[in-house]
Amino acid sequence: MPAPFVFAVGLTHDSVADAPFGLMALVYLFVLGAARSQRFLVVGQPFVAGWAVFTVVACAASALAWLGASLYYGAALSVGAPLAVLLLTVLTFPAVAGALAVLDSAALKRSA
Amino acid sequence: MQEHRAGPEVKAETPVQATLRRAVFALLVTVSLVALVVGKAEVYVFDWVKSGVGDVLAPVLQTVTLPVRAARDIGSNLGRVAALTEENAQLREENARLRQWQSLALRLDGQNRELRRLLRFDPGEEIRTVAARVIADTGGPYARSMLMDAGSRQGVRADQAVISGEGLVGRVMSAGARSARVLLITDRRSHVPVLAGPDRVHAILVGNNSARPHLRFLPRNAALAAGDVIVTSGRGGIFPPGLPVGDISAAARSGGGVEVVPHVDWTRLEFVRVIDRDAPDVACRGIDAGASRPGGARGGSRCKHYRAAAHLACALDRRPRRACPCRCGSALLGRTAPGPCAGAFRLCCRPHA
Repeated sequence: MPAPFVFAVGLTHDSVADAPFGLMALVYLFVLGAARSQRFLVVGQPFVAGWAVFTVVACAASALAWLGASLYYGAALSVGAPLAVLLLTVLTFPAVAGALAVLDSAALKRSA
Repeated sequence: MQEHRAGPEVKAETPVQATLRRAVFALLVTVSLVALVVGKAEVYVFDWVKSGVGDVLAPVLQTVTLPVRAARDIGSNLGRVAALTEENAQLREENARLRQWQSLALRLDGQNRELRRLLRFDPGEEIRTVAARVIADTGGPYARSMLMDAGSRQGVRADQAVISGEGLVGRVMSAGARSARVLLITDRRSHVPVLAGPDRVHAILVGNNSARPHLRFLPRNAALAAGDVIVTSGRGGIFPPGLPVGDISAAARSGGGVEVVPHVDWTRLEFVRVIDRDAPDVACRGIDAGASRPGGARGGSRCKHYRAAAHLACALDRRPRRACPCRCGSALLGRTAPGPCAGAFRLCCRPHA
């Protein structure tokens, strides 16, 4: 995914979720950088390995977002809501990844 | 479960393309950091962007949240069916009690009107409200806000108070053409001047991103008990006085202040009303008539451009600093103690949207 697109998605997220403007854009760029440099860890690996790597990246992204927001507001923010979001993200990964894999297969078949 | 597989072979990028990609990436990271710093320095810079995005996404959010709301309502209603009989008996009892209060209220209202007529009492400014539907709870993990389907076209502007049938919801943070974002009183950026308890002690209700905001800047000798009602004090010029906000919770006073349980049930909030007071610079007139004249002294220009709590700006700019009763936020609290309160000053003086 191109970096400008990821940046735009991040800014949209910031606008909708009323987060500090630029925070999620920065976090998504971090995730993009991590995905690009570490993709060899998941390519060709079993699904569970991919899920584990996703969980690690999601944890790091959540920690970065929490740290950024805490620095922005000048106080240690509550970790309850970010943890709930993280848990939901990690738990819904199989369903979302499965749906995307089906779409990917269909697109490949159509283009073949 | 399906396994990941290697994608199709992609053409390797040239050194120039790789350099360009890295440069774009670094540029976007820098832009994000700059946006954060600029947003922190002047929080209203990106309001128009957020308002625009809210306007564009409002219909989408409205559609997306419909099934969620329906599912939530069904679940909530199913849970209440069991308690209907008991609730019905309670309501009958309450109805009988309220009828007695109604007859008393009607008698007092007639008496009140008669006395006002005798005194030629000025009822003060008339308050107009704009009704709106909540279309999305847009607050993420770091914010408590919501989007409603009324904007500047309906007369909604930044810094207007938002209420529901239960009490104070928050204030308009930014308004687009068709939608507006409301900062809830539970958000950590929310500071509401209030009166607490039967003694009507002045305090500031400060959000903390949890369901229970705190009272701050209470006098040391304030005697408050669980269940005491909190209402807006009207200081600061944003919230009209007397709006019910919440009750003091049973929890004891903690280091962060006294906990308040808001009257508003956030999970069932569907419709709100925006209070349109439409009285710019009204506070300035009480302090210094010259201060609100366009083209006047420094205080004049400030009052022209700053609406909320403009009296504070007048007090600051029209008098020598030493003679100022309060330098900044403490004026909102009715305290005279000086202190470093630049943050509170920003709270008092928001520029026009």
